[in-house]
Amino acid sequence: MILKILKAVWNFWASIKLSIVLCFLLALDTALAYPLIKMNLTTFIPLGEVGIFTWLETYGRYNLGHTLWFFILMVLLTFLAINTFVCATEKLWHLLRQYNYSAGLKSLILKLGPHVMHYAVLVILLGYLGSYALSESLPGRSLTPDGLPIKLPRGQGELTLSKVNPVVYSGSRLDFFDTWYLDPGYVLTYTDREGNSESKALAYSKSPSFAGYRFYLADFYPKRNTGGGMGLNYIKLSIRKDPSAYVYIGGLILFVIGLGMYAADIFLRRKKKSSLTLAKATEPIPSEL
Amino acid sequence: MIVIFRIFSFFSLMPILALAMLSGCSSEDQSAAADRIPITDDTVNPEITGNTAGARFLNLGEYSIIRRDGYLEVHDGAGRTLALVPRGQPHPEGFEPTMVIETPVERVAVYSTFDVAMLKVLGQEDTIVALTSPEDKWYVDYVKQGFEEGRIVYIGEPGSIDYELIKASHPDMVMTWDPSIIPMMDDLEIPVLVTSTPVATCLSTQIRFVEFLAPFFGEEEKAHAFYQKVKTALEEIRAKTDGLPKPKAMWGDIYEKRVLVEPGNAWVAELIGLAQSDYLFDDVYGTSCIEVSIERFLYSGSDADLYFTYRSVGGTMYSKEGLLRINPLLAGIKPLTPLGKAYAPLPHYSQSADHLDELLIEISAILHPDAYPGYELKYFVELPDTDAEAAASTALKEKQSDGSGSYTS
Amino acid sequence: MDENFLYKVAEIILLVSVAFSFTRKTLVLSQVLFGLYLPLGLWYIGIRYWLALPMTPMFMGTAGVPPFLALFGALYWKRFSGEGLFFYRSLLILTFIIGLEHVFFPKDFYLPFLKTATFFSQCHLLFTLLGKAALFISGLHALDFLLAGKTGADSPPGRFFLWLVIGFTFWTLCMFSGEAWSYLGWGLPVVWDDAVIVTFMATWFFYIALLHLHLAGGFSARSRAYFSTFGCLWVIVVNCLPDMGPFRVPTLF
Repeated sequence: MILKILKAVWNFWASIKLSIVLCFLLALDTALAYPLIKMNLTTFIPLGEVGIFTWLETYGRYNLGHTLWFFILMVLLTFLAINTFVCATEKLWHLLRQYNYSAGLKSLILKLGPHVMHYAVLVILLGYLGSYALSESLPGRSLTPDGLPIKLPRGQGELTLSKVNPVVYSGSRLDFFDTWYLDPGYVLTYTDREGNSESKALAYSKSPSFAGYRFYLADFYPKRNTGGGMGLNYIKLSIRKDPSAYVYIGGLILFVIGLGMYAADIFLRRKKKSSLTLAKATEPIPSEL
Repeated sequence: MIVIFRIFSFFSLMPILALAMLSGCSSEDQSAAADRIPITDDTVNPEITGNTAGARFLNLGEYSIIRRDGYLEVHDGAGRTLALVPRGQPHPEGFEPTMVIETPVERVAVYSTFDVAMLKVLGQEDTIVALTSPEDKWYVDYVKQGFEEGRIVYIGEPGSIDYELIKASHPDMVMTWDPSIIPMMDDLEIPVLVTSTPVATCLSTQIRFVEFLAPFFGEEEKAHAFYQKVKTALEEIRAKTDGLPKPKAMWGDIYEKRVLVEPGNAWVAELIGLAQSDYLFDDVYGTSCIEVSIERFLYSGSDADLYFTYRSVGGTMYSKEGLLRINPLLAGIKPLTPLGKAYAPLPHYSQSADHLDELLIEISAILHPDAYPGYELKYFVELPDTDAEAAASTALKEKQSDGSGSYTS
Repeated sequence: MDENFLYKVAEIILLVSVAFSFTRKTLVLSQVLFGLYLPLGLWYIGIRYWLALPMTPMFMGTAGVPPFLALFGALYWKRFSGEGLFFYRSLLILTFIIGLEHVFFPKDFYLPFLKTATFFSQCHLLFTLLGKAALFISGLHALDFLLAGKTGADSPPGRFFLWLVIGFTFWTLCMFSGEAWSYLGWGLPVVWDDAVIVTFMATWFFYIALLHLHLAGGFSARSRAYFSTFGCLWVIVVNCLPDMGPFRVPTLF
């Protein structure tokens, strides 16, 4: 009896039709969220700073009119994760059991592409959850070039800033950008408890990491080499410690690998089918490109 | 035919979705914003500092306060997390010493004129001990008096602050829009509250910001009374302007090669929408004084009836002619021709946020002069077409010289 | 040459091409004009990139789609005079309609900003354009299958599925490059500063559902074609409408 119930539950979650329904619901939920976010951006911006659970308990709970979609998203994603795991595991099990191993392992590996993608989605979702729930975020920090250092939490060292090699925009394509910094040329220096120092470049596209923390340039002044900005000279820094980032980045890479395997499988099958058809010289197959 | 019918019926969901997507095209739908303004008590718990049990959360734009066990967790404009603790109580764990502020705050150094005005609203103007504008730049009596009595010191312009003076004035807290001072303040062990945000302040936050500051001083009742006063003014504006023809207004300026405007999510833009007017940069979203392309500025300007410049009257700018001397490019916008109207803030405008209700009514009166017959402008001045006309206007001269008084439109 | 002038000229050429495509006598002329549109459209994209480099051009996510759509559609140019005529006409009309968005509702007033001066930001825009164009092609083939089926369908189900896979691949790459850009710039996989982020997710989920519809079995080719055609409209509504600015009376100069 229990086995029957378990099997029924397993079969329910293994349904591909359930995946389709969930994905359509997710599409609708996120599409309808657009105007709600657009008109209430400040409710959602802190999501990355205060952590998902605090956000749900505060911003989410007290603004249900425009955050309900996010709660629905959480539920749907949870269902999709269960569905993906069960469905992918079942299909993988069938593939491994029924595969004709004499056909060679290359074909089997390529056939694993869709399963790799499915498991990658789980890894990505897990990474996102970890990132929003467990990461340590220190927004709104600031540093002045050659000024006082800022200290990392729990005595994990300190940071100083210097400005070495700024790159200024030159050219006439963007008239308003003339003399403005393309790269302010900042270097961030980390000094640990023992006094050991390490320096790395800091820019919008360069986010150095020290002691497990990653440092993001949020803004900087002055914006141009001719001064201005009321003589202000500093950077805004956002600091994050987020080991889960490696999980979702791994998931993204895994998904792309799976997609590549799937595409290769389709390509090889089409090539094989095409050559077989030509050999038989039967009815012409419609070219699909 | 049946197939076509099926396709059309199949796609019947799309208009609903399209409307939803288009409704989000405007950065902050003005009528929606206006509807939210009267009272958002249902979305913001007013009992943030009350003694009753239960979850408490105050959210104003990018500012928020969360009631925790024994302290209030404050998220300032930079997203930094601070703790408000009653004096003498133990400090919560996990906060650096300079991230804890003991309440009520008794001495404060202030950068922004808006913050100074909010302290006045809370009846806390006597707590101000340091400012970043010298005495002669102030038009409000309570600050002038503070300087005269030696209670307030001038600590230098932002960017060249004299930190020794800050230290000597012993503030419990510094309220600033300039985060560059934070490392130095940390060194001096003075907590900092950042009171500016990356995204422009909406109307709702503008009129309720005082509620965010109230717990620092234990003045929640005064904050709520101020809010009620401004809310009444907004309701009056809405009633007076309902059904009137909509003038088209723009707010911004050109500086060298750059164009700065108030985006549609800024409080002035929302107010213009609430006062039955079209704000021409309603679709622009972002920070206050956001940059847009000059082509867009001139295109919107060619259609505008009213123009608000960022520049105060003074120096060589008393008229449209004077403004065009500074920015010849502005000649392309209709309000700077005799067909439109241009307004400039008076020097005391930025120091008058404690009269926010009056400011809002004045902007509404500028937009709809017919709805406010005989209204005398106090905070703005209409720019005459020429310098000669400006010279003839003694009221304008008086206005710019003392920054107070009134100017008859 | 001013890039907006170029875009409007290209739209006019496309409009004439659409008109000429409805009579057999002028069909060749229509195709010549279509051939002329293609380099002009791609030139527009090139100019926008050149002007903004090293930053990414702003709000080109819809304005830049028509040239890529025309480029993908042109892969079937040999069939335009024969069985692929319906596909050709619908391709022209869709390309023209999407281009109208930039002509009448331009959103071209934000200036490029430094955070877009990264490899992943550039990839994100490029894959967005390629993804949208490929998904539109899939929808057009599906529409061809549904409406022109009895009069000589040129689009077997396999073709709109293939473009679905291509479009989904580009869309996935666009999402992932966006996330990589977001991680390197802000430290988060999803930055909530821009509401458009959820529209990308919406379309991704929509096409995952559609792919599963194709792969699950049990759904007829017509049902799948309906959904693929619907996808065209979905992308227009969910991913193109948010790129619309306020209405502006177009002027050529």
